[in-house]
Amino acid sequence: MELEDEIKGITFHSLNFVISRLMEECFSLAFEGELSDLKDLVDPNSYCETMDHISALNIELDLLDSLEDPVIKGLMVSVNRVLECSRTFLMINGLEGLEIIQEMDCFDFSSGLYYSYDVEEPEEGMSYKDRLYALYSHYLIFQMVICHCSCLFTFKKREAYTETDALYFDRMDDLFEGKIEVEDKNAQLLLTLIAGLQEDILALGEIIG
Amino acid sequence: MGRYKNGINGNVSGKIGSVIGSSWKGIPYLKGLHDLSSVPPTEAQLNQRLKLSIVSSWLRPLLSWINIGYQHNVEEKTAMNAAVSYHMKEAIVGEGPDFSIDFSKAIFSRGELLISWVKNVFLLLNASVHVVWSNGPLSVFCGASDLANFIVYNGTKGKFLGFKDVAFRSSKEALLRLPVGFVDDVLYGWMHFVSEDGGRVSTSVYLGKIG
Repeated sequence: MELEDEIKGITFHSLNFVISRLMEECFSLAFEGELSDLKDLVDPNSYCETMDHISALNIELDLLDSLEDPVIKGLMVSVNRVLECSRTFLMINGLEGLEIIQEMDCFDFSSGLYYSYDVEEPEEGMSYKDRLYALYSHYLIFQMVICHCSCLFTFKKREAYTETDALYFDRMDDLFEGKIEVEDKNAQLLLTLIAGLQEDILALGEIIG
Repeated sequence: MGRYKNGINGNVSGKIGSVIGSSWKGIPYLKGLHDLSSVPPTEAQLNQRLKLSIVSSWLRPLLSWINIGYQHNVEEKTAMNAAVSYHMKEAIVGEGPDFSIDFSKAIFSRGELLISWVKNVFLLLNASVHVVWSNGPLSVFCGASDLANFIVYNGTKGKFLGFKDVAFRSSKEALLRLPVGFVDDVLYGWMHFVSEDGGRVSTSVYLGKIG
């Protein structure tokens, strides 16, 4: 597989990791509130693991979308934002999501990439409030993963940790205000997503305190 | 059983091979049925994970302090953005995989209130820490009623102790009572001030190794 195609595959998988993690957080919060009846009966990260998987994702997303918790509503804004970015990414590159998601090499590499940033250990017995505060860390992780994917396109590399640290930590203000412009259309799309997610966490911060 | 309609805007619903998919509100979403790869991480991935783990585990117990301490001058950033960014850039030292935190560079709050000069930090026989400081001229940035806060890190046990609103700035000293089992451990300390209304903070000051 060409490097460019590999980077595209890694990016699509990485966006899926972010969506899955956002949905997991939605369920974890819902299990402490509106869906407390399901707590301890269903794992927040495997709600969709039904016997046949049919329409499970639709059920999950519809269920989360129907909840009244303002924090979950805020998280769903991000879910929609990443989904929309993922759709645009496929469209501007003329790609088939189904083909990419079955590329196991891309999955393996994006898994390694995602978990090099998601270092949060799952904690048993976290309160609702603890989970709210942890969202700040989660969004930082999502942004760094997406920033890394953007750097892969910009620098045409399979790994770009130094470049990601330099962009994310040294130019954070410009990044969050959407002031950074790059030539590569995919890199730019991902930078726009980072600025959007920052809007979302700042809006969530108004609720979280 | 899954259905897949070819094309950019095609739909997938249900499970196809190792994939489940749906089209939600017109947006196709595909999810692999694997959570974690069995492929070993690369050296670069391991190093990044190690650095972020150190900073994250260091800051996590202090989230409520960080949210107050980094509340100002962050503009579009969250307090967590600012704190992680600072510690990743300035406080992590060493080469992979031997990374560590330079305690003298750790900062738990940044703000416009002035700091005071720490004169002495004594570890007393009754398992207390006595901190003595002197103040500059009193002003809106150095108020007599500013409250002194302390963080003590037990490097042996890897535990933090927080001492909030222990003394007024004007008292020029504070006594911090340590829990049982701390006095023989390696301890590090930091101090900062918070205005009486909680709206302003000083940058934290490293008290050094205690004892």
